[in-house]
Amino acid sequence: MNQEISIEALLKWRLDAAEHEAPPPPRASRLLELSRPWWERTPELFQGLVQRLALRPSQLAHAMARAPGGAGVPVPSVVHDGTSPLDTTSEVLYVAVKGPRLRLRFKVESAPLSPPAFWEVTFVDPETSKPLLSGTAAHSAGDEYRLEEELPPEVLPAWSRLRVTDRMPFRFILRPAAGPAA
Amino acid sequence: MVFLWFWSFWHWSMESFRQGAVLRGPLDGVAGNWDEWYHHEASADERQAVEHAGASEAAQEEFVEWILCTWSSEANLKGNQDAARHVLQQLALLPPFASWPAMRRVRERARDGAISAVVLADPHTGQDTDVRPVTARLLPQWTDKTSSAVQTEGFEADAADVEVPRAAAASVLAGSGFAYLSLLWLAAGRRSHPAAARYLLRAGWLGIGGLVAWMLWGPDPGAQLRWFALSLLLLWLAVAGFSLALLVREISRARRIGKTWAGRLKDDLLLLQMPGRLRVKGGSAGLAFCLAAIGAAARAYPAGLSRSWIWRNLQDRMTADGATWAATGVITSDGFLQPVALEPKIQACVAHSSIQRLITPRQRAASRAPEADPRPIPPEIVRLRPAPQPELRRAPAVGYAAEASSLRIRRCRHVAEAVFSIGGFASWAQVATNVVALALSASVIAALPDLRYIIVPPAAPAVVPPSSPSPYFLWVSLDTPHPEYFQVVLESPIWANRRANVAERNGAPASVRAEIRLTRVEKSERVLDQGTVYIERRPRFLSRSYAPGERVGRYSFSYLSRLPDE
Repeated sequence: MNQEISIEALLKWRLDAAEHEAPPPPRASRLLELSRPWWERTPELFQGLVQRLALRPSQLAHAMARAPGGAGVPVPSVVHDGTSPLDTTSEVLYVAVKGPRLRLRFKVESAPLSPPAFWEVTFVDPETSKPLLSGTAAHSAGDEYRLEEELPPEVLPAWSRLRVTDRMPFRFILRPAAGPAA
Repeated sequence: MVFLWFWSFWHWSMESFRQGAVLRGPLDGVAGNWDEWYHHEASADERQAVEHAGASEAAQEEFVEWILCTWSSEANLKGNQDAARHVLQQLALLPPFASWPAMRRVRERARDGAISAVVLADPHTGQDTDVRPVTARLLPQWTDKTSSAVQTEGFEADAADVEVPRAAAASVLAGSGFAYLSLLWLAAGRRSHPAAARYLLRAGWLGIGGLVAWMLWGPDPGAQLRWFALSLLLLWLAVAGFSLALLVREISRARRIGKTWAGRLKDDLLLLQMPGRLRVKGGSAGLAFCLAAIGAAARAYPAGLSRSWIWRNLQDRMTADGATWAATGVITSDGFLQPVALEPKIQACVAHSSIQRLITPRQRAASRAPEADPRPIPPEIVRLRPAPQPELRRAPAVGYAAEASSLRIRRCRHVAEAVFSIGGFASWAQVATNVVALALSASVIAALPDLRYIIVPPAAPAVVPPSSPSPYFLWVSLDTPHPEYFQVVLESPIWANRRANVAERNGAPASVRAEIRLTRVEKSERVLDQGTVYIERRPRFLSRSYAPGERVGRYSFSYLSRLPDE
């Protein structure tokens, strides 16, 4: 082993090698593209999923009959894992708005056998079919997921009064996510 | 206060539920509520106190003891003894408790005594991983609203598939199912009596049997007959009365506590837990859910359990051996079992290393247990399911050798029969005792009038008309309602001596009388109406008549022959 190379020279050599092996930095247009929400990048997919959600009023009524009084109203949801979408419902277990931030816990009915550690949750307005916000929910106790996200000002007053037993003013599009949002 | 942080969490949980921020009550939603509180609501001091509580194994044990003893008595759990264990077992899965050694032991005890359901991942093939332990908990509701009273954890099912087993469990505890269980126990169930009482009763029945046999076939007791009859009657009254009192006491106690549990099953939240993350289609797990619900009621409200031997024995057996039982069967709300697809489920139980007994509905395929299936698990099925534990995977490779299956199958029509089997109540010795006791009691009851008139003889009858219209017969008519206990004897120097039973004669004229055919033995010209008629008691016991008893009447032949014949 050559004893005459200094530590500084060794570190510089390693840094040069790392820079040489690193992928090129993304272009500005790519960064702009990535910063846009997914429903703007793939509007056709979003519209398709929203239409599936819009076609499910009867399931909501059925769920209400199943759990009268004292239980929550299931939230119609669509799971899209890149293959075929799956219609399901989610049960909101905790909802609280602290300042401008929404804290939510929910459980996905008929979840896949191996549920992902994270869901990317898109809140869709059932009236307008417009996306309201998006956030990443992390797996928690049992089959539950928890999410904390800042609310847009236009929904903040109404959502601040939400009780967990109310009919929720949103529906979910759930997509597996690799990890928490940066 | 040592664990102030836990009270902070608990009150946050209750307040959040009251305000409508959390959907589930503080008990059934304890895991999610803790997760939320610990990550978002707990102050730095509280989080530090939690860390301090888990700093050593001794401190962790102290927390576990505190939850079970102190917190459970102060948290207004409405007398529920299982809620604290539920809280511990839910918390044991979450940080920071998941890493505590004391909580690992709590986790390991979570499925103690759980009876398994057989829920197939593949409808055609049964594998050991299809045998899934079912645990149930009864938890007090924190709202008066009529929310769904059954919740599932680890699986999903239609509401009817979990509500019907709950109704069936209530029926076994306090409805028609309990009546069926009581009858089964009366007919063939092991008794709760102390050994001394049991031996005393058996000796009593033996004594009754001996007396009955003696009175039916033994030497005529003669003058001692009354004492024999009195002894038999008193012994039977004592033994039967004592047995009946013990049985009524046990059944009434079981009914009282069962009624309490049935009420709790109706009012409380029933939480059913089964691993596998399955969407259960069909109701064949209903029997396992029902049995788990009964066990949950016993664990949650054990007050009075010590007074009911039936329920205590069932609970002890479920705790000790429950893990060796599996159950399958569609259940109706009144507890009857309906057939299910059975062959793959039997295969699954045979392949499972722990299951020794399987309860099934009464159906054709349930009559035999197949040998272990030597085929390996198809890879496509393995992929669909969570990885089995190593010991379970090893079990088929070893156990699938040529040994015969040790699985025993119990076929039941009703869930009460399943409870009877699990409780280990069946006793052939008791069946034999019952048969003997019933036969002896039937004999004694049938002989009660005979015994009565041996002990207290009926009043002596007087002779009344009519006399015989024929010169060839002597009629002795008596004014008694008990003709079978009298007989008449003619003693005469002219006529052959005859003895005749008194009976109710319907031929005209109808009367209660003895008819003696007159046969002349003395050819002399002496007066024909010489002779004496005696009325004797005729003691009897069932089919046996004893030697004639006391003579209670004496009439001359001439008097009797001169009575009017109408």
